[in-house]
Amino acid sequence: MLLAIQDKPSSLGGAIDFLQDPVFLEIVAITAGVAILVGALLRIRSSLHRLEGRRLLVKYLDGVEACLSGDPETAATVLGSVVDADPENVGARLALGDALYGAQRPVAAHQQHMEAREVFAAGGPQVDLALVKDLRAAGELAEALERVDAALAEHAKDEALLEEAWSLKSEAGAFEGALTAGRSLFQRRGGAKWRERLAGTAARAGMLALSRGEPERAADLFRESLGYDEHNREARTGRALIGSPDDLPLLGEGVTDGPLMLTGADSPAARVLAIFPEAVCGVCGTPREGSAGNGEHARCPSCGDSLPAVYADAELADTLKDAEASVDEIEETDAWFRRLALLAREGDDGARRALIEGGGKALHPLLTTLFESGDSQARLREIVVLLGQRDPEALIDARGTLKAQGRGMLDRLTGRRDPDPALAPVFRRLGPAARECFTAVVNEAGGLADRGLRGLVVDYFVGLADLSAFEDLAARYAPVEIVRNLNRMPAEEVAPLIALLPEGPSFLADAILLDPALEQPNALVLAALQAPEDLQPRFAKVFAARGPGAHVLAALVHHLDEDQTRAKAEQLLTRFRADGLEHLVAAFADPDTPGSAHPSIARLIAACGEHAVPPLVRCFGSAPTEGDDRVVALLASLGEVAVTPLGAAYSNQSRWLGRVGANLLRGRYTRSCIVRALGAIEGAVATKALGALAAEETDPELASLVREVRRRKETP
Amino acid sequence: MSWLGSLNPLRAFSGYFERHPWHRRLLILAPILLLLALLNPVIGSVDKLLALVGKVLEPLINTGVGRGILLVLLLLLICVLVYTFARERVLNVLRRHALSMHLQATEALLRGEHDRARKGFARVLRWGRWIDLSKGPVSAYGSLSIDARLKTARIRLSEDDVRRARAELARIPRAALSKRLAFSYAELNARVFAGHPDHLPDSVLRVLDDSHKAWPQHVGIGELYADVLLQHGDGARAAEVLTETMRRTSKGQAPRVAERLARLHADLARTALHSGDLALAGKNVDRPLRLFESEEARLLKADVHLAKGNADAALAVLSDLATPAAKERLGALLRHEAAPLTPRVLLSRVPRRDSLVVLAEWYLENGEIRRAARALEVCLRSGPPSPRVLALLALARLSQRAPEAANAALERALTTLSARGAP
Repeated sequence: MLLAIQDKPSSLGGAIDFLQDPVFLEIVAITAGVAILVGALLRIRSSLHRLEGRRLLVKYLDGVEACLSGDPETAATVLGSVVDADPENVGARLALGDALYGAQRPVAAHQQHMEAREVFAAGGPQVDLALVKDLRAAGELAEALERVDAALAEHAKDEALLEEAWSLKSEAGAFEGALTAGRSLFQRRGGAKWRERLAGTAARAGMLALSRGEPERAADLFRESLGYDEHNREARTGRALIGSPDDLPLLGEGVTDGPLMLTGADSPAARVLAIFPEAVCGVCGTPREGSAGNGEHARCPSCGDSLPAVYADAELADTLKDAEASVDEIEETDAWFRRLALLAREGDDGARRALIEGGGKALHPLLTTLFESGDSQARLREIVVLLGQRDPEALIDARGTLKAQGRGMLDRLTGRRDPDPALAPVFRRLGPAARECFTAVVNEAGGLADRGLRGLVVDYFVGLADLSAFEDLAARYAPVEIVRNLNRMPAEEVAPLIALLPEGPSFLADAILLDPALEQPNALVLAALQAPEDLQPRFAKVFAARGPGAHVLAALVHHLDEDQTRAKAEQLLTRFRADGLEHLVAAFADPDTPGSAHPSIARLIAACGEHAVPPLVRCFGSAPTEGDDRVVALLASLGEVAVTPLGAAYSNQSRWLGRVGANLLRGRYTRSCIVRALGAIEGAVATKALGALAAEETDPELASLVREVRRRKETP
Repeated sequence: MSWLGSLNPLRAFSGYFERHPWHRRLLILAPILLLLALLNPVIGSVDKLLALVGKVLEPLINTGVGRGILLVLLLLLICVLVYTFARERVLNVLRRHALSMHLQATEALLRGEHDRARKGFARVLRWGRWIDLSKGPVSAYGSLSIDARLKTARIRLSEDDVRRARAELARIPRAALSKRLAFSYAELNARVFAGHPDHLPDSVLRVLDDSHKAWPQHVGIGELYADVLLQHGDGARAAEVLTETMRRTSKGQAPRVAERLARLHADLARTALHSGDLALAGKNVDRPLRLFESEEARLLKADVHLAKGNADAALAVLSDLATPAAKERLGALLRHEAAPLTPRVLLSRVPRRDSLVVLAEWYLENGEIRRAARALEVCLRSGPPSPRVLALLALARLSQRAPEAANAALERALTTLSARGAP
């Protein structure tokens, strides 16, 4: 080709000749050689120039090697002096930062790394990673997160940075960010280990989304998690939480009423519990086993942390306030029921429910508390009654245990009381539900032998208020025993039984009510008052047979105070008004007697006529009272029949000393009241009586009063 | 002319000459040229000599080959002169150049730019073939070639390329290692042998032993050696190695070794426990607790007590630990046949909510469902609701044939879990 070009007589051929000139080639070769030589020299000069100003190079290299070979403390010491002498040695600064980090001084390490990056523009993924690690070790998670994001924006493919970002964001709870880093790393590395860890991170991110109220996002994340690892427990739990019923084991299936197996793959209970892990990783929160099978700590399947797992519910480690009480409650001991009983006594509904749930087991401690509670028994008694109605045998047993406990010498010496009186009201309220049990007790030899129990049986039958059942007692109990027990019972509880008083001969009427030893006047009165109209004659007969008695009369008068019983009480008192006059007058004069009762009492007193005058006059004291006007009015309402007794009463007030002008003050007020009563009586008889009194009266003031009353009476 | 000081006649122009250096040089040359002009005969002689040389060289200069020969001869002459008069200076310049490259590569390594660093160290190694890099400005540190190889091996190891790392280390003359480099070599060699799949176990042990002897205070080597010894079942020797390392390492590193040693003793105790050697287990279990107070060691101590049937001592240890692992041990104490524990004693010694869960699980497993339910209720009442406890309660209710209560408990468990979300 060259020959062909040479053949052409052109400028190109001249150029070729020139290029083929040996001188030219020599010049080119020499120039090239010189250029290479100069280039090499310049390069060497440049590298030597870089060395200028470098100090303590041996120390620098020594420190770097110490740092790289795992001797951070030596490295930190050596490199510290290098950086002090040669602050612009970026390598020394970076190595010093690494050494300080290795020596667990992250704050100082961060300072060195930061200066290397910001002041000396020492970039690179390793520097960024070091900065992130420094911040993380120093506990500055927020800044570390910012830094790792910035570093990833610059070095998105750096695996070490990606792994650090994954771990850091997981620790900070930014699981979605961690997941992004994890995905990138997984794309580069793959492997089952990363797959499991990624599944854990996705599941954590899903749980977080769920707690934020984003179920759709959570569902996506759980799906992704199960895509990585189909056995991931947390993702399955999460799916169950957002309503995938397939993931919830059928609860009833396989769980029996016997012992439960809480572990094992085949255990239905274990399947349920798997949704609610007990132990989690303390670093990333992934569910973990408490310990491996051989007693070693199991590693976290997600982050690989080997520290012991912690409770998913940290509060499980909280201390119990009263462990002793907890055991008592769990084992339902007497101490626990006694504590409940004390609470129930104060009105605690929860304690009440718990006692009732306790059933027969709660009875003994309840009875003990009841027995010791003195007057504040009402709430406890109600619970015991409920329990006794459900299980009367247990009540009787508990009573027997309690009774047996009090039979010791110490109890006798300390005067421990008999519990039966405290239990009697309970037995009286057990009602028909316990009848079968008590009928059996009545017929049992053991029941008959226990005197206290016999009394309680009587209590039960009295409380039952069933005449036919009460009649059964007659077969096993002597009337005198029944009467004795009836006498200790409150009247209002005996009354319902008496109110059933049958027509004709009966055990109740003949053996009990007519027994003079029966001291239940209030009960009789209450029964009579509660009984319907058609039974009233029966009670009248009983009262007639027993005689009204002071207590009965007082009770009847007392019942005049009450609106419900007033009519019947007045009706009964009509029969015994003469006997009960004193009681009637006392009630009439009593300022505490309600006003509504006064008309009834007044009617009953007025019906007694002139016999009522002396007790009425005795109502006047030596000084005025608020009832005086009422008594004066009642006396006046008696009319002329009262004039003579009033006159006699007037005369009796001063006795014989009055006649001789002594003791003028005695009975002055009473006599003034009598004068007013006489003044209020219509008719000439009263006027005449006033005249006679005026003539006889030696007390000038009273005489003046009598005259004035008479004058007014005579004045039309 | 600074030596003339104030007597310098050109002092007033010093500023001008500093700004115009060629004028200054001309002024200096002027007297020399004047002197040469006066020495004309001498110059004539020199001229004749040069003319003679020219005549000799002229045939060579006129031909290309001759010029080439002349150039080669000239270069040889320069080389001989340099070798004769400035050999060390030139070598030092080249060593400094190699050092500069080495420093650049080191900085790249510190920045994490491994490719750049590896290439840099490769260049240093190439220079090292021609120049002795153990001399020069950093001779006190050691040979740069060896350092470059060590750092290259380190890069290879960080990339999990153990074989190439081993190849680098194999080329290092051990006799030429300085102290620091010998430490590094020992450390890298230990890692390489421990990570190299093809070495015989005895070789690995021998190398690790050498490394440990070379740098006994190095924590990494000690741990590596101990791990390998453990793999060979020589726990006692492993403990010796770590004990020596702990004794000799710095104060800052000692706690880490102590922790590792404690774990090792714990492992030994666990092994002894599983093999039924309670005496050895007891002996080993106290050491970790003396060295480093860890939950694992305390649990192990409880295990040993439990194995000895000393429930009281086990309980004393477990009462301070509130973790799921400790809870498992408490459950084991309840189930222990030789020294069974009563619930009352358990709760009085470990009065925590998790003890109630232990009791509940024990009751459930024994079929005492009512008591289990009560224990769980007490647990729930004594603190915030726990999904796990609620789930157990649901199981207890199911077992009590109370499906509605079970569903309610489970629903509450799910709600609590959902509300709690991620920690």
